[in-house]
Amino acid sequence: MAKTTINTAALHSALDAARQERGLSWRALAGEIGVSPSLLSRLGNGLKPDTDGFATIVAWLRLPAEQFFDRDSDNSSADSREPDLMAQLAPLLRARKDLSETDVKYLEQVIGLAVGHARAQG
Amino acid sequence: MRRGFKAEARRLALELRAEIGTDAYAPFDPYAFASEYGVPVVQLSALDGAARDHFLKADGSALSGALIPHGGGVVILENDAQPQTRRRTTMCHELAHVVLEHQFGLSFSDERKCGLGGDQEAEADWLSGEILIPYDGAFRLARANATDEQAADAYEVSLAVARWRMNQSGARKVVQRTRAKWANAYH
Repeated sequence: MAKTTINTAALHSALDAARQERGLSWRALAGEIGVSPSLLSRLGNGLKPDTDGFATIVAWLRLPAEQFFDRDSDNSSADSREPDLMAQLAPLLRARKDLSETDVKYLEQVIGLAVGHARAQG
Repeated sequence: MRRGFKAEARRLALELRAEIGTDAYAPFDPYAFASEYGVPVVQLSALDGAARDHFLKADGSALSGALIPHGGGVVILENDAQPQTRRRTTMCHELAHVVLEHQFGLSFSDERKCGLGGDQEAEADWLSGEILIPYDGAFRLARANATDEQAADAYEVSLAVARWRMNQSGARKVVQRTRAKWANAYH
């Protein structure tokens, strides 16, 4: 039988769209939905919500729960949405005048390694 | 820092502490908070290679911690070669950025400064101070005439952070003013 899981990335995206439309912070959005801010943060980090949290969120979104179901998924969708990290960070690092070129080079390395490590921890 | 932020930070810090079952008078556990918020924390010593060795120094390291965007969330990288009290400050600083929904942070060698600059830096700095020693806690310590060393012990922070909070939070000033008022009332 096909395994069904919650697509946290899709749920997080739907919430982000609703949040931006209303001009709210994530914390304010949590207050409006009636869930804890930590629940939304956990979703952003790819962790599954509990049943009550999930039900509360989809009811608030007024979308069918099935829309956020993944069948036979290994939850790889979060990675596919992810923009290239170094493309985002490299200009910020290079703009810093107080960092040597060596520091920037090594920072890029440890940042990449840290993300890989976190992903492996899963 | 925007108008009203300090009052907001005071309330928010108590809210954040309550979310992990800690009141204003106990040390804050940033690792429990990161776990509650689903934020992975990676120790520098767990990585491999020359870059790790470059930063993994107790003193003079360019890097204390980093808040790294990852998908819809973030990862915190912390320099675990630094003393425990320093690591707690770094962690709270990065977590303040998370809660305030700032985009990216790097903490460098100075204990209370990081790489964002401007308003975001000032806000994260102030909120992390409120998280580490909330105003209510500083006030209670000030009323009990606690020294900076005693404040540092009570909240498991460095002496520098304890001194900063006891003086800058305004708690000692309020206690002094209240005492002066009472003293005047009896003369």
